[in-house]
Amino acid sequence: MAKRKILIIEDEKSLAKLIYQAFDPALYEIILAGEVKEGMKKAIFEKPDLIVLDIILAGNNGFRLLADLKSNQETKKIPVIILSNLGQAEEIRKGKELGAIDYLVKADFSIDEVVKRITDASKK
Amino acid sequence: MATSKKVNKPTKPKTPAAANLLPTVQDVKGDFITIASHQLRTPISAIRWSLDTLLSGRAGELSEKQKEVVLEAYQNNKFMVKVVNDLLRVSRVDEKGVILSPQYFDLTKMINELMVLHQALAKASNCTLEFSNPDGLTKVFADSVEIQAVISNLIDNAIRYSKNKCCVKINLKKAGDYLLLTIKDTGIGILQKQQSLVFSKFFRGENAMKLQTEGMGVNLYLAKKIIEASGGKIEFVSSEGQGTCFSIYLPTTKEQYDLLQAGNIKDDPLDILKKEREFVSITVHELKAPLGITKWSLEMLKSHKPGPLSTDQLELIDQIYRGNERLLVLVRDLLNLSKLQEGKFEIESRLIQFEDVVSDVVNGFTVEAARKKTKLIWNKPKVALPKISADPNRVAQVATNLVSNAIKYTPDGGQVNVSLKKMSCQELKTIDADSPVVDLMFTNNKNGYLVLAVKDTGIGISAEDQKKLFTRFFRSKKVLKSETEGTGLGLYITKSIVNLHQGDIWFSSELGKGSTFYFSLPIA
Repeated sequence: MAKRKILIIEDEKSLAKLIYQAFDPALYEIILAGEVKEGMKKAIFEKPDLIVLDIILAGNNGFRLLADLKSNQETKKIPVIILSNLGQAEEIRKGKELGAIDYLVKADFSIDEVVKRITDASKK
Repeated sequence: MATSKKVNKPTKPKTPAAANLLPTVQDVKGDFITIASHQLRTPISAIRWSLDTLLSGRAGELSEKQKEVVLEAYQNNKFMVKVVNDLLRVSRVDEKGVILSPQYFDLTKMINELMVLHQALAKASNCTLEFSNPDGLTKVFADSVEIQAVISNLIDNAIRYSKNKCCVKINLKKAGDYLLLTIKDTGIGILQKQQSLVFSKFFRGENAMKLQTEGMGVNLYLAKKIIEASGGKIEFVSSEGQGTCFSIYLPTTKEQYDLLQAGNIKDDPLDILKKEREFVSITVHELKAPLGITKWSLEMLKSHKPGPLSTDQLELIDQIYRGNERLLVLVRDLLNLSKLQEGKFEIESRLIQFEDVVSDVVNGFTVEAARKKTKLIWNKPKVALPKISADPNRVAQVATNLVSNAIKYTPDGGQVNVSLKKMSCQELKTIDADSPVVDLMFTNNKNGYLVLAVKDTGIGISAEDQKKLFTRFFRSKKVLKSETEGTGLGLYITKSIVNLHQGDIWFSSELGKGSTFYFSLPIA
């Protein structure tokens, strides 16, 4: 199987680095974006198999980016998993309504669980 | 003479509570508890993931001793996650009531699945799980997710709160129009004198706490709310040392559920401020201990006593350490906030020389300023200024917050100027009248005021941010981006302290050029 490409949009650099390191580099190509504009740009040009999206991002919020991703012809078919520390029922509902396939609250998952959820979803 | 006064109410911020937002969360969701939980979870999850990475061996293998210390920190981290999640769940239910999406589901299937899930715990506790369903009934009409959480928790409790060799019997049978589920254990039981409290918020059984120190005492409180909102009933019988049996009645048809809903009286929502206070005080109380333990664990690892560390491992440990420090600061700020809100913030005023307090504060920043190559200048008055009546520790706290911000938000090589001068009531009134962003409350002290000015050549504050600067959890977008640490509570607390002293805090700022913060205290 060809290497899977995953775009992670996360503004906290140390967290992004931890996730990045937890993937097997032989099987996954991880692309990082630190803010909204960069995230949109990389989603369009890199054509990732899956996008992992934080909600509280510098400059804008992830829900808006998710709506933009889902209304753009180039990106609307790419599955998105939300990975945030904001995680009340309302937010989870909102994320799913906007088209996210999964919503993970960071503090509730170990990094290996997060990676597993992402890799499982990227194989579908 | 030292005078001690308790002030009942902090000065109200001029913006309504709903405006106390973190700008970037603003259009996501904006109430205090949501933001506080997010602020707490961010370092907590970062710590969790760094600990995961350490344990995984990706940064190098750990010795058995090191692993033990890391696992200790991991347990504490898990507990902190639980505290924040539980408090969030409770405050949601208190605010909005239980929100259910009921449907028909198979209760037998759910219980069988829960039995499998609890098998490992039961085995470890030398406990057997039995399930019987003589009537063969299975269908109920309720919210399966919520009901599953309630039952799972009851099974969990039944196993946990028992001494060696126990037996948990689960039974399902018909009871009129209801299905009756009973979960019976042979555990420690609930003390007679405490039985009336079992479903109250934050209840923990005296004997249960000896067995299981962790736990917030929210699950049974939530269970009762959920079952009652579902049109059902939950009750128990228990005797100390013999065991406990919980009974849950659930409606079996939609018609029954609807009928019961009509008769359901909704609880009055808890006053928002009361809820915030509860959230803050319990968070602070619960998080202090695990934060302290984590700090020690990390210091132990860093001492290399449990074994040598690779560069990658050290980097991770430093990262965890910083996250933990960030949490400690947040908890300290939340503690101040809760004291302010409860009117328990003590001010011990006495006659002091303002400039002496400032000298100590500025001296404390010499190293930090040198590190950032920032010129820190203190224009100490040549002649002694009149005394003020104030709490020297609190005044130092305010000055520290301002000088620390000035250094933090000034790029390397900048300049921070601290000066103190006497101002008359008239001078202050003129400033108040001249500037649209300055709104002073105290300008009538007959002896006038001493005003401290902290001027920096930093990044400045945008017009949009200027309006929200003193609100809770305010953090500038610009500041958030630069990953500078902070809780967004500092200036709110600082303003409250100054106001409690009958003084004001204000600023002038120009984006890209710098800011000057002022605070006034009345001359005695």
